[in-house]
Amino acid sequence: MPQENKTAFFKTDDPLFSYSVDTLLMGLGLLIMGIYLNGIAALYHAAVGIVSAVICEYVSFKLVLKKNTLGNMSAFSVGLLIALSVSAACPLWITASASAFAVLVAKLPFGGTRNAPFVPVAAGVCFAQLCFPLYVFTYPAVSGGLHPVFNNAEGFVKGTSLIDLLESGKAVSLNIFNYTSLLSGKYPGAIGTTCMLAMLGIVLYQLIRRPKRLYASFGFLVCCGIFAAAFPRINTGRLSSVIMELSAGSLMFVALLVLNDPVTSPKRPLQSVLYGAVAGTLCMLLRYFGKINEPAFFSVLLVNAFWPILSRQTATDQKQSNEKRKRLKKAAKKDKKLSAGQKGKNTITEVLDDEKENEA
Amino acid sequence: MTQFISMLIAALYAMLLQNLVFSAAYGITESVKIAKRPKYLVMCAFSVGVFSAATAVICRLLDNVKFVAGLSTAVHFLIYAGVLVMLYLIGGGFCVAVLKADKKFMNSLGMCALNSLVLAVPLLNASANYTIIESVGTGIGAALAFLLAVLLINAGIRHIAGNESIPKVFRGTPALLIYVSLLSLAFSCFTGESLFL
Amino acid sequence: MKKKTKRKHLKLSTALFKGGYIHNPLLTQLLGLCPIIMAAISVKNALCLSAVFALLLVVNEVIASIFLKNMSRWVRVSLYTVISAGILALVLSKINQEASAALGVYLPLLCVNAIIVVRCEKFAIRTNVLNSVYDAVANSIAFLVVAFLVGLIRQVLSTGSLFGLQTPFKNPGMAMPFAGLVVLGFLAAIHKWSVMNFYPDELVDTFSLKGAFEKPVLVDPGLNTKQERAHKKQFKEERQEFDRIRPRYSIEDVESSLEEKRAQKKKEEES
Repeated sequence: MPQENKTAFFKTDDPLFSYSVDTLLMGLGLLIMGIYLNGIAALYHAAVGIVSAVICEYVSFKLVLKKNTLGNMSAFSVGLLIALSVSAACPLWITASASAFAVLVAKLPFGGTRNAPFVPVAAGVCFAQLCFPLYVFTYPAVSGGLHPVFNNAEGFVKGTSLIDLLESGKAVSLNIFNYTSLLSGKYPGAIGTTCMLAMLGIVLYQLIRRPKRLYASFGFLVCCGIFAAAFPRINTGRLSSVIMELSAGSLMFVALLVLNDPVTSPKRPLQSVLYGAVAGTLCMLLRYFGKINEPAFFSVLLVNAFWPILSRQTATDQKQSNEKRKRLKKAAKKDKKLSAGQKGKNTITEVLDDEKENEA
Repeated sequence: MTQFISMLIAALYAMLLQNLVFSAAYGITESVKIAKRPKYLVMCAFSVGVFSAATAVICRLLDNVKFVAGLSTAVHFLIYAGVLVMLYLIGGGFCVAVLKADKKFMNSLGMCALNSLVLAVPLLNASANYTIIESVGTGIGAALAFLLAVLLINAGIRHIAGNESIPKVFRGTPALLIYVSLLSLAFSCFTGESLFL
Repeated sequence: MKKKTKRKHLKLSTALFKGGYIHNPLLTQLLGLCPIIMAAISVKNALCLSAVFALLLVVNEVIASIFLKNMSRWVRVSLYTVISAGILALVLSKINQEASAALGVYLPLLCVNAIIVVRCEKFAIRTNVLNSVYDAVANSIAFLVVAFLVGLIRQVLSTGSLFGLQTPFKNPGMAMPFAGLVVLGFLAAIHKWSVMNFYPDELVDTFSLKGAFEKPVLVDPGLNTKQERAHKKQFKEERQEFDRIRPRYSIEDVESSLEEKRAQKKKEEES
């Protein structure tokens, strides 16, 4: 466990701090493109999401855990990612409630980000998508320029996202103009999920900073690509099906920023790839047969739920704790043979000290 | 073949697409209880499946009888409960007399047979107007849903038990309830906002 | 000197306090959750469920206490279902269509509610009728309070209105099962906080050494039997030991150090 600097507000020695800062930087790039495409509403959503998450974390953790956990910046990254996953046209209170749900339900009861069994961002976005599908999945038509585009505003024009086109079986003819639109994010969608150029930038950033985190993303994207190629929903060829499916919705966003959460995803490369593949399979099955418009976040929750059963990690931990218990019982029996007044070595303490040395 | 496929679809529906435990909270108490000590999970799931399927089939057969079909909802429900209790007594008697089952086994059998998951299956079949084959599928699906739910909740219990950072007020049942709520949220993607009942 | 006779009757206040509050069947033992999660989406539904549940529980506990004591357990549990089904059939024939439709299949499913079986088996068959009635009343009130709170919160948040008053926030997803579980989880946390702060001696298990969940004393709540006193004493020792060495060591260390202490004590007594 890294030694934390207790006096400073920002826990710079904490690995979670550096991960959160990286996420914020990557999210900032997406936010800038989101503001360019959707107007100032994207900035409002980001501000509301971050403020809501920070306030909920500060108040609840102070009350319940009696400590300030804002120093690891995870609340900021959760708020920003949730804001980037919703439509710019949805009301601000939906973003606020999704951030609050992520902190109060997915983080607080389990003692914080380090011990959360589910990715808080995925939980918050799933909550918003399930409770307010009409608002979250109504995307404004992309026209550029800085203007507010809230749902009931005058002059609001609804856009057709790539997901809607895929569901109706309509393809986007992939010539140079459409590739440009795909790369620049000119198709309607959530605030931070449409610009493929920004996503490529995130891939490069992660390759430099955190290459190990890309194993899960790789597994996820490869699996989704295989599904899209094998079972295309459009009839303009398998390549265009793969490109459309990977660009549509929040798939890339989830693959690069949500799925590879360091707390819930596995540490070993092969396990990470498998983890991503399982999530990808679930995502594509839900896209093809499910009722939710964009199920990528639900696939993250499902894989978080199923992974402890599928992996053998839980069994290994149990075995280790059983062995430790047996050793301690043996040591306790040895101590019973010592007389009460005898000074000397305490076998239990020795065993425990040995264990601590081994662990260190 | 088509009937077999329709049975499989009904089972898949009950297990995954509208998981009876997470999407409709049937048998959630029993799932949590077995999840704490899943030693006899397979036996319990098997019992749930057998009782669900048998009750479902007999209740659908009775529903096809004209006299029974014309009765009120209250009497229908009484018939379903009566069928379940009869099946339980026959099964229990067989276990005691022939298999010489011990007290523990009989206690578990009671819990597996007389719960909301098993009794919900004939009620759901009646409302969805399933055929007999589909009713069997729903019964099998109920057992699989129970099995899946127990495995998932058990994973959650292990996570919660090994997590010392959980605040004192959330330790134990509160954290488990919230864990199950997140499982339910995850399974809601299959149903969307609506349930079939 | 006059010998104090053992009190045979449970006080209603003790039953309410211990059975209804400390060992709340829904919030500590996770019994009978199905109707609360799915059907308690409004105050009206919650009150209707609670009324029917109270009727079923009282009748079952009284009948179990009077007639079913000498029956084998595996037959007895089926009789609770039969009795409840009979009562529910009468209720369903009298209840109005609107309430019946609102509660759906969850009203008939009260006949296999786990609380009824557990209370009858753990308490009613081992005691007299009056104690059973007190216990049934306590558990019914516990059910009512939890159902009412869950129904109230979900109605306010899902419909955005309460008794004609409009609220600014409206979330239709609160009628879904996950919302019911979230509300129950937070109510359980509030309940635990209240017991920890106001009645810490009554808390049976904050963090059990055998597992992470409460092991409720269900046999004779309030009668202060030898079994209950021994269980409390044992748990107090374990908890104190755990708090003492917790910062550095794990659960297994506590068990082994306790074994060590007991062995030393025995030796001292022998010597």
